[in-house]
Amino acid sequence: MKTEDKDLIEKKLREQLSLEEEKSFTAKLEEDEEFKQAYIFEKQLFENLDDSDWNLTENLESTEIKEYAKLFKSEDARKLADQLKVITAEHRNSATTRPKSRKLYWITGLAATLLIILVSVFVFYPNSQSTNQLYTTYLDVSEVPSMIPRGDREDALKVKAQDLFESKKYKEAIPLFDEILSSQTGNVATILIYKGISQMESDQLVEAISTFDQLIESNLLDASKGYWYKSLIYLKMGERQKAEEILEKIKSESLYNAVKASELLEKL
Amino acid sequence: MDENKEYLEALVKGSNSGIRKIYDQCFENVKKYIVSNGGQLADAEDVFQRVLLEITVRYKKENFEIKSDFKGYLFIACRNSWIREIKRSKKRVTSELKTDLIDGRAEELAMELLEQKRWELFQEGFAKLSAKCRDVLKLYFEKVPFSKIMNAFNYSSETVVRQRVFKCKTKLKEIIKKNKNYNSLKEL
Repeated sequence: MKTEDKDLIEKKLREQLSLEEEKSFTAKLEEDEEFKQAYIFEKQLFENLDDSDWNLTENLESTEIKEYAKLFKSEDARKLADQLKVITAEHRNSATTRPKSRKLYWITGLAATLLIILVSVFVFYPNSQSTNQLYTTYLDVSEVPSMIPRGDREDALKVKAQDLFESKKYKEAIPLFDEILSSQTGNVATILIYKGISQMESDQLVEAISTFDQLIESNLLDASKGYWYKSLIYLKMGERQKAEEILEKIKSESLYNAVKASELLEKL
Repeated sequence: MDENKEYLEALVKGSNSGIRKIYDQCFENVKKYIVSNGGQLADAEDVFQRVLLEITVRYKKENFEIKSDFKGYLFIACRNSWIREIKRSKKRVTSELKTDLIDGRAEELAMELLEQKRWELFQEGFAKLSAKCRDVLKLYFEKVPFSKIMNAFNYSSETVVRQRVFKCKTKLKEIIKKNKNYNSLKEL
C-alpha cells in the first residue's frame, strides 16, 4: 500500500483529517478493498488499545456471533440469568438494610433531610423502591396459621422454630424448618410457607422462590398460597412485571388472597 | 489458579452460595466505577449480570482460562462493558428499555462477548512488546500529538517518533496476526 494511503488512515484514526482529505478517505474506503482491510485492522488497534475507547462489532452475519447467540438463548443460560437477577435483588436489599456504624448515629438529627432524599429516590426510582414498600405492607405473617395445634406444645422442634420465627430470627429458623420437613409427611404446606417467608425475609430470594414453587407444585390443599408469596418476592425484587403476572393469575382464578391481589394490582 | 476455577464452576453449576460470594467480593468496586462514570446503580447491576453471564457461556464453550485473578478480570470486563455501553449510547438514536437480560439481547450479548475476546487478544499482543514500544504506542493510540510524544521521551525530532511508532506498530501487527484466534475475530 502507498505511503500516502497509510498516512490517510493514520490521520483518520488520530482525528486529523481535513475536509478535503475526509472526502478522499470515504471514496477510497468504498472502492479499494485493500485500503478498507488495512483501515479495519488499524481501527481495531486504536480502539482496542486506547483505554477509553471500545472496538464495536459490525458484522451481524458472522457465524461466531450466531453461534454464541444460540448459547445465550439456551435453557441453561436463561436459568442462570434468572438466578443472577434474583441474587442482584438480594444483594441490593441487604446493602440497604445493612446496619450503620455507631459513628453515624449523630446523623439522626438530619432525619428530615434524609426523608427528602428518600422521597426523591421514590420519585426517580419507583420500580424497586415503591414495590419494596408494597411488599412490606402486604406481607402479613399473622395470616399464616400456627404450626402447632392449640394447646399442644410438646413438639419441641416446632415450638422452637415457631418462637424463632415470631421473634424474627428468620435465619436461625430456616434449618429447623428443614429438619421438620425432613421428618414430617402429609400436610407440610404451612411449614413450607414458614420456611419460604423466613428465606424471603433474610434475602435468600432464590431459595424462597424454589420453596414456594415446591408448594405450588404439590398436591396440597394450600398449594395455591404459593402464588401469593411468590408475587411478594417479585415485589421485593422490584420485578413489577413478574409480580403483576402472578397477581393477575390469583385474581382471575380466585386463588388465595384474590381480593388483596386485585387491590395490589391497582396500586402497581 | 484454583480460586478462579472455583468461581467459574460456581457460575456454571449455578451455585447460590458461590454466586453470592462473587457479588459480595466483586460488585462494590464495579458499582463504584460505574456510578462515578455517569451510570446509576441499575446500570451497574445490569452490567454485572451481563458480564457474569458472558463469562459463564464462554467458559462452557471454550473452557477458557483466566490468567489474572478472577476479581480483577471481572472488574476489567465490567469496565469494558460500561465503556462499550457509553459508546453505543452515543451512536444509538433511541434508547432501549432493558427489561430482560436475555430476551431480544442474545445477539448483543454474543457481540459483547466476542469483542471482549478480541480486546484480550490485542492486549495480549501489546503486552509482548518491549516496555519502550508500549509506552510510545500507548500515547500514539490515545491520539497524543507527535510533538508531545517527542518531548515526553526526549526524542530528537518528530521524524524519530514516527519511525519509532512505525517499527513498534509493525511488530505489534505481526504478533497479533500470528495469534491463531485472530482470524475468527478479525471480521466481526
